[in-house]
Amino acid sequence: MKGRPTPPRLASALLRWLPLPGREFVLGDLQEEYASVVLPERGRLRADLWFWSQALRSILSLGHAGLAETVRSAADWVRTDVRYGVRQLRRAPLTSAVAVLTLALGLAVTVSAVAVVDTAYFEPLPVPDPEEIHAVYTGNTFGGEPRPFGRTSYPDFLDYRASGSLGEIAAHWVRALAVSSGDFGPAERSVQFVSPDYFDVLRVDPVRGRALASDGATAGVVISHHAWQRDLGGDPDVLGRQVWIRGRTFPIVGIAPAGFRGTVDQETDVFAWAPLDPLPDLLNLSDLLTSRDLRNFSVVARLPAGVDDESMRERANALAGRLARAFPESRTAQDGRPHGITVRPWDGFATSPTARGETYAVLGGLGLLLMLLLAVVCTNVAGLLTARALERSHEMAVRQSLGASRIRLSRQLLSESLILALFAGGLGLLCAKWLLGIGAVYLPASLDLAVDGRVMVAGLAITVGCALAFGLAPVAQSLRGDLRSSFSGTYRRSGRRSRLLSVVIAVQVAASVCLLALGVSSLRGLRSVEDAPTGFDTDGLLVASLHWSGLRYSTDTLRSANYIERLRGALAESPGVESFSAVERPPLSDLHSDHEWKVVDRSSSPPLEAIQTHVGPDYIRTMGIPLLRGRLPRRGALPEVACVGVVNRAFIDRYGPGIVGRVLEWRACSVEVVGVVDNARSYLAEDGSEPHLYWTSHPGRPMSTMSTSAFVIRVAPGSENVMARTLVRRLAERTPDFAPPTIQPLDDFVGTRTRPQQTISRIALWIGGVELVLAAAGLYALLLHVLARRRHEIGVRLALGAGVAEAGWTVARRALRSTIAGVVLGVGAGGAMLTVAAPFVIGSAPADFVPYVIAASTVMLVVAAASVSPALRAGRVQPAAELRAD
Amino acid sequence: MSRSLGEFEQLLLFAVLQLGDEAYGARIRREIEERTGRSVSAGAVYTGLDRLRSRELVSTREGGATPVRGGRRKKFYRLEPAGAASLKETWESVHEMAEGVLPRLRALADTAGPGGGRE
Repeated sequence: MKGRPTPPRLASALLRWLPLPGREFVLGDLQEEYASVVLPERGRLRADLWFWSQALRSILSLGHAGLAETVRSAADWVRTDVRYGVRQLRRAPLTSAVAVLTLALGLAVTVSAVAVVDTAYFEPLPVPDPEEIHAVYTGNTFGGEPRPFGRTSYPDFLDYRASGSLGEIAAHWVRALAVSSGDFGPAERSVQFVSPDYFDVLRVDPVRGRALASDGATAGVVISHHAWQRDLGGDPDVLGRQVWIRGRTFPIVGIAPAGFRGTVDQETDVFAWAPLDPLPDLLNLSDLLTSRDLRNFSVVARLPAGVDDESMRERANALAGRLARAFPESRTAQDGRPHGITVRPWDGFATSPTARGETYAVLGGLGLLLMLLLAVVCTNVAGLLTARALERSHEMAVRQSLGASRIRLSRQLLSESLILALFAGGLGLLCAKWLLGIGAVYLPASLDLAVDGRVMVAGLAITVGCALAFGLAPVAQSLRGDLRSSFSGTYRRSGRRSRLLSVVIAVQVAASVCLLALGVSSLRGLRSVEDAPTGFDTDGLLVASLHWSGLRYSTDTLRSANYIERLRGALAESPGVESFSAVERPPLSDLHSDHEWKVVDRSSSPPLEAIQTHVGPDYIRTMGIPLLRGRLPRRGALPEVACVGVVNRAFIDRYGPGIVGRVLEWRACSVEVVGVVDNARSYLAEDGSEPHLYWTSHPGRPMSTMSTSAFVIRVAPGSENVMARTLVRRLAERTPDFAPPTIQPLDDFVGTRTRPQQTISRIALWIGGVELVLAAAGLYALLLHVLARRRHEIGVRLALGAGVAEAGWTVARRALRSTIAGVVLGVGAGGAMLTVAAPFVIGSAPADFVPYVIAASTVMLVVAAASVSPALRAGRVQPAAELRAD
Repeated sequence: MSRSLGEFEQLLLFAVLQLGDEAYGARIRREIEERTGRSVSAGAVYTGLDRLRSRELVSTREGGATPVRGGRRKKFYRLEPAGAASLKETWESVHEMAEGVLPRLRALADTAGPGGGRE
């Protein structure tokens, strides 16, 4: 018997297997038509062709219809699930708001950190074809150990360039030096000294002016875009203006494009690019550019596209071998092997590959912290949503019994989580932009921080990840509950999740209390130090800090002594300067005096000990420290002994009044004590009540350059700022070969010393505040959780005559446990940290209980506020409804 | 007011009307091919009818499975009153527009030859 004719199997299989709507009916129709009409009429071959043609055309038609169906169902999802989700979130506005804000806070911090790390380490160099840029390292040996990623000497660099083996190359070396220009500075700025072809190799054209000239005599500097904006006020006529780099004048010849930071590490903020030629003179290193032993330069190369690693390695090895034969002393290791040359793609870390461990550790630690933060945030939000899911279990039970599948309900709950996360993500990105604005103050100005496309994609991925992380909790909650208990409103659940939430909250409360206490304590310490009497006249007092930059201890004593003498002369001739004095260490510049306590008299038994300060003869008068007895050192008088000094009242109080007139045997010289002055503070962390000896060597002569770090200058009160600016210009004119000193009124000078602590304190307060918000959100979630679980019990209690307050307390007391545990933990941790950090904190007072009280009461207040809504809801539970559920 | 019908949708509805109780995919496809001479794919017929069903212009019922169809069932279509009204309205509109100009239309089409139309 002849079998039924079958159409082409492959065409049938295609139609059958592809997931297309209605394929079974279409296949049935085609098979029927094939067998009963087409095959008898047209024969096998033409029938098969007809079937193939029909099958392929049908696949296209059905596929198109399927795609349209998918789009329609997505639109349907948007219409129903999203709209329903938004409605649900609006029905619980407080819970939704708390969840959105909590998540936004976590996302803002995370996205900001991602933006900073991305900008600093992972953005390609802003130059054409950045993938062609490579770093060239020269091997060396240090302590017998080979180091493959070393720097390069200038003669070696010239040989590399002449060989042509490494593509186009340029040398550079960044140095932090005193820089000033007109009324900017002097301030320490980073200058990258570069070989003339640096900008050509990187293919960077200045946005204004020109790149560096190769001729050292006419060379100027190219300033960075942010230096132009920040330090030079965006002056449109900046080209041609002069800048002083360590006293040497350079005209500004160009401005680098915005975003170009040079080839430096992330912490370095390049002010300008300068030619190499003046560097030996600036650094007093005459053979810097001629010695093969001075390996100070980094080398950057642009390799033509298409050069593979292997051929590059061969070229580098050949060059290293040639140089080792030509210069065996400097280019070979102890075992006779040549120092290698390594070429690696430039990757933004800017440090040699062996020095990156620390950076990786910091980035890893940061990543871990951010994950921890997100985990805490997600735990809190999951707690909130789970509590909400518990409240909605009746609704879910009704929907399930009406036929909604578990998958359908899960999709609905996940949609709600996603909507919430997207709201929070949008808010988080806005907050991140704001946070980056604040954070930019503490980061190198040249880092162009922005929430760009890459960061937004990362932010979106983190947001969706969070939505899934915390969205699964309410889904699990809804799927686990059984219909009976959901309808009756009784939940027999383990309290494992709420216990976990309690622990998380206690830790957050502890962290918050600890950080708030540290911040408050530190700021109070600073305030007490700034407000404490100094013992000298602070009005009209200027401090001129000198920028020696190594010259102070150099062998060129004649030049440095001449410098001090010229400063002294300029100050003496300046109208408005009432008096001035050199000083070894300006007042209130350091925190503690520990390292300055010295034996000042060996002849006594026991030896006399005191803080000592080397000062000029006019120091006491300039400072306005009252003289109590005796006299001050006299300028011009030739002493009988080498040194003359005065002691303070505390010295007399401790060692007796007979000290005046005595000669203290100290160091190699003897100090005759000629007077007693009142107590005055020398350090930020002391009150002036410690014995102090102010001594001056050779009262008729200037102090040695090694002892001079600053001048104190007395001007008329109220004229401090004007005089500071005037004197900087005058001193700069008089000593053009040096960076002008920084001259500040005393308050500003002290401010620069206390600013780091102020910044750290504020950061601690910020983080403490964030922790507090997170803790409050977590607590709110916990209490909602408790309310949902105990709603029935509360209803019964209310029915039995319990008051509204008692019902509220049933829920709110749960907050008390976590909070008290957290506060106790936080106060203990804060106290321990303050005690350990006391030596490094200005005005530290670990025993001061006020910061702990402020921190604890702030936390308690916020916690109480977070408990109000759940407690009120507990009071509003309807006993009748709860009992009816039974 | 319902959306007006496209040309292919009109053909489908006329085919369903012509075939009556025997209107299912394969027959409808053949009906259109035989009457209009156009080659139509089974998939296009199915998606077109499904679209009309979602607009409630036709209704469907499933028939029994037959061996010649590989054990697969037929899907029968029936014109619903809304479909009939929509088809009537569309057809009358075309008819109104064509009234009095058909002879000219035929004459013009004849001058273009069997290939039809100018470039």
